[in-house]
Parts: sequence; structure tokens; C-alpha cells
Amino acid sequence: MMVIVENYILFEIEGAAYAVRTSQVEMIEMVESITRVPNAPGFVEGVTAVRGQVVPVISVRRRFHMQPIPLDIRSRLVITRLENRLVGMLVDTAREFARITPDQIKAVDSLSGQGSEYLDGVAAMPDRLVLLVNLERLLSIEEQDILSATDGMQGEIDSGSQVASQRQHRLKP
Amino acid sequence: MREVVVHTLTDPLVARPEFEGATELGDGTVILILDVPSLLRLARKG
Repeated sequence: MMVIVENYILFEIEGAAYAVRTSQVEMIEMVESITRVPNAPGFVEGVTAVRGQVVPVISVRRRFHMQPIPLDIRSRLVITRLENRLVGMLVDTAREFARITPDQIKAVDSLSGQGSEYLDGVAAMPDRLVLLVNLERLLSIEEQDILSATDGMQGEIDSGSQVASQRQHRLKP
Repeated sequence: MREVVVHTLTDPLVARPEFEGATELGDGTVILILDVPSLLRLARKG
């Protein structure tokens, strides 16, 4: 029987290892500067320039309802390609590859907790567990947010500026 | 005055009626370009 081995890129959030398929990753970059986009959904960090293109950046921590941390030298942008979209994921760090076979992967429905709605499964590696990210869901925008882009501008602006004041985007030299 | 290349913000994560697009400055920073007519329309809607 043929076993399909998939290559994954690993990244870290709060000490836990997450994985996305290598085929969905365009590149991994250091974080330079991220420009906030007012009134964008709360988990959107902003936009950044990647090789002449302007790409949106999401905070995986915010997406997982975790406390954001200040950018440091380990912070990375994992630039993913999903259909025709390029989207950067801001992660604590990213520096490894892994080969994962289907028999290592367990379903995730028994899992609960932060961010589990964005996971496809858990891979049991010899030395640790790796959480497999469902990129489609992670990068999707809730219907609520799409609706609020055209309606209820006032409330949006208020909540947007609160989020803005809590953010720090520049990497200190 | 300076000429810039305007990238439209088409991704649903960052597409906002308030912004016409974004441009990259020489130092790699991205700045957003306001869509003033659209802002005025939004303000009028209150």
C-alpha cells in the first residue's frame, strides 16, 4: 500500500507546535513593519509588503483567543497561499519542517479548547504532538464581519479604535 | 508630491470602503490611501 507522506512547515504559538502544508506556504519572513487597517476584524494585524505585494496579516494568537505578545527577533510571518490569496500569519516563531504520514494523524473532535475550531487533527510525532491547522477556516472571515463592513459603521469605528490603542506593531531595533 | 503604485485591498480580511488601496514606501512601510468620497458618503449615512 502506498503511504502518502506530506511535508509540513511547523510554527509555534505559546510553546505548542502547529503545522501547515508546505504546498500552502509561499515563504517565511522576518517581521518588519505591519500597518494596521482600521475597522478590520480583530484578528487582523494589518497589511505588510512582501516582495512588492501588499498582503494582509492575521495574528494567529488573536485568532485562537490568546493574549498577543510583543514582536521579537523570533517572530515570523508565514506567508500562505490559499487559492489566489496571499495571507501572512503572524506566529511566535517558525523554523522547522516535518514529514507527517496519515497514520500519525488523529481526528480533533475530542479536543476542545482555544482555537480547536481551526484544527484538522493532531499528529503524534515521536517527540511531541503537532496540531494541524485548517488554513481555509483560519483565514476565513466570519459572515458577521462581512455584514458589518457595510452596515453599522458607527459601532465598528468605536470598537476598531479600542483595538487599535492596544496594539504595538513596530519591531524595536 | 510623489507618484506611487497603488495596490487595491481586495482580500476580504482587509477590504474596507474607507480605503482606496495601499502603497509601499521606499523603506518597506505600507501606508493606506483614504477614499475620501467614500468616507464622506459613510459619514453622511451617520
